[in-house]
Amino acid sequence: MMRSARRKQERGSALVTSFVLMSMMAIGAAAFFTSATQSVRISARSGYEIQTTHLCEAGAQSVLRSLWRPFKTTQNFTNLDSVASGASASNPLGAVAGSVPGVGRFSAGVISSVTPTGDTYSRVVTIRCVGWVDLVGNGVLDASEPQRSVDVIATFTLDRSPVFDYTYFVNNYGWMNGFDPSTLIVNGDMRANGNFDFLNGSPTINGSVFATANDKLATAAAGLVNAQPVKWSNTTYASQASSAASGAVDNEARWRQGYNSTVHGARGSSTYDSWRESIFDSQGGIVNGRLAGAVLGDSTGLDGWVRETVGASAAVTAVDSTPTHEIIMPDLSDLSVYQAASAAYRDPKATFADGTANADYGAVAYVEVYNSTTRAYTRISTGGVVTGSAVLVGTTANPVRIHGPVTFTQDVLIKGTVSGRGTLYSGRNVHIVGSIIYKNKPDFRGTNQTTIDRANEKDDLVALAARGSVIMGDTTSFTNSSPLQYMTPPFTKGRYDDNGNWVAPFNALDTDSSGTLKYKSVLGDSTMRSVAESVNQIDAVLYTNFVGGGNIGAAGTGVKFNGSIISRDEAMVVWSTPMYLNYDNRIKERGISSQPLIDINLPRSPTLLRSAWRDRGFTYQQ
Amino acid sequence: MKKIYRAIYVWIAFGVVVGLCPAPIPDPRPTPPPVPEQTQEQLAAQQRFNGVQGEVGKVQIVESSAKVDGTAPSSEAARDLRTSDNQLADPNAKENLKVAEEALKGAKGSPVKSFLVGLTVLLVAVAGVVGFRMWADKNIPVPVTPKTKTRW
Repeated sequence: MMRSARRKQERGSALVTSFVLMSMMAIGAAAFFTSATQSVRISARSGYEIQTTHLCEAGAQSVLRSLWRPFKTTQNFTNLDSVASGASASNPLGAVAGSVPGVGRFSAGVISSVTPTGDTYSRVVTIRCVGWVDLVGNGVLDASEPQRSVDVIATFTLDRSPVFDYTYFVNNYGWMNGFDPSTLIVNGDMRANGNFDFLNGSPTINGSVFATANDKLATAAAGLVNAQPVKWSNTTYASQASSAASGAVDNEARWRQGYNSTVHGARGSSTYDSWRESIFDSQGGIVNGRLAGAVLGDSTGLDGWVRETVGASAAVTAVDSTPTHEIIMPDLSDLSVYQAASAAYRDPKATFADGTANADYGAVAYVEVYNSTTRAYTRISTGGVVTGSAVLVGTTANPVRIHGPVTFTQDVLIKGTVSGRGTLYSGRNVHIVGSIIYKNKPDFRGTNQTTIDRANEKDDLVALAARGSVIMGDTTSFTNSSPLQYMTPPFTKGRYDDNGNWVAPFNALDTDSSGTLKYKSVLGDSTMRSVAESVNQIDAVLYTNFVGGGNIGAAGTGVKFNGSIISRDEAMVVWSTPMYLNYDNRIKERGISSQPLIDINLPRSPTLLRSAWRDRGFTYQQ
Repeated sequence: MKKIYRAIYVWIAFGVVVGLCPAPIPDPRPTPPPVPEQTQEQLAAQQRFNGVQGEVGKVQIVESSAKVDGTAPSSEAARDLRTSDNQLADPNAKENLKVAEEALKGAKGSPVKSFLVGLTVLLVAVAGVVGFRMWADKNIPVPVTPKTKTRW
């Protein structure tokens, strides 16, 4: 009976069981295919998301490039403003489209360009990008196609140029020819946007030397420093600085201090960090993640080196293999920018760091000169601008007074004693026709940095920036052998700009739009002969769009150059030695604030900073 | 004869030596005498030249002649941007974005979690089948099969 019943039960459930199992298998199979299909869709979607992200980046790069290149070349906002002003989300401007073969397409354009309040040297630009996969293949964005939208915010700024971190900066070719360690002593850093050669001897370079690969020069530069120059140790530097310090206030007092662990702290300490920007440390290396001390840097990387005499071989220590890069020089070709800046200038400093009031607070930019005939000072600038050229001769009793940025439309002839803090921009040449000496000289010696800075902040500091050239000495005595051969091709170098346009080499013997040879002054030879003398000391920061050079040291007493020379071609012929080049670290940006001790409105150069990437979303209507 | 030849050899050797020796050639360029710096009195006298002189010739305020290689703006690109903006403003697009995010979250579940869920489902399914069978054994009557006569 039981056996019979079990067989009956088995027979009765077989159909149902089979049905249920088959149903479950069907459901399972359906679920599997659904899941598999979903997985394929999800992975395809993930792929599209990644593709469209990179397409958006391509679009952003395209627009940034189209804005950056003219900005870098012209160094003004004319092109950017003309392209981007009035842009909005409903009216994107400067839009570009493109594709990445096998990936997808992108479109990008500017939807906003804003000038920050109170900062005419910046533009904050928002770029909207869409990247999509053109599934339909019609080259047009369709609603159903996978797409991502991104906003990129970038800031274009004309900022203080890093070229002013150097006592000698040359764009085309850095060269030191025929000097020995005792005839040229450089207390500062040097750099070239090209090769840097020490020829026929070695000067003493108490600082870093940089060369940079540059394929925009007529003959592409490999970016190499050809030899390790002589450099003093910290001990030698200290003894040299102290041995002649008394009574030598125009030289050793103007040297940056040599590293002394007792005063400047151990390397890596907070005390060292506070001094590091303003001292010479013969030992180059990486301290707290940043470069410190003197190094040789070129396209092969950075090296520390020791070489105290010409006879000694250099001991080289690798510091970093990162190659150097080009530093963009400011460009003064658009004088209206500087005229506007001069006209708008009001001294922003109410008090100095020591708490004393600034007598010139709120004052406009000006230049005042003393006239020995009228026995009175005359302000020769109007609203910070001088139309034409000027002769500026100062004496200890009646120095040339300079305040803020003043722009001259043509030449500046200057010599003698100067006072104040400011920059003279010339639309043509700056002719240094005699020594330029500060009335109130800075002194970088001491053990308390705050005390040193507070004293030096109120001392004189002048920059001379020429849209043409900075010419030193009496141009009526220039000969082809010296210094004109160094101001003409083939010594001067041509180059390509960032758009591939050929910029011919400077030729001092060409005539410019004033009808005057480029190395001469529009004021004429007669005026030049009346005021020109030997140039033996230059207390100034010199900047030129073309050549910085001429005859210096003709008095036979050597040359003291307290400041910087920044040029595309350098052609200084030194008629007596020793020559000292001492960097004035009051113009160097320091610390987190990136502010120099004294801001004299030096020429600016373009920078680009990408500040934000906002993902607005990805869509794909499958 | 020998002496003669020896003398000739000596003179030839002398000529060669003299010819190859570096001759000291004085630099014809005169070294200019030092020019002393001017005194403060001389400088003061020259201050009569201080002042401005008008422009000479033509002054170009903007000297740059470099061509600007800007990429030509694309009207198609602007149209695509506008289209994209409209599509992203569409509420359906936002809903699609939420769905996509949920799907991505689900796809990113951990393998252990997926295994446990699968095991649970399998056990429930087996229990269901076994339970159904037990219920059927008790409640579903055995079908009566009528006797049939076998016909040969």
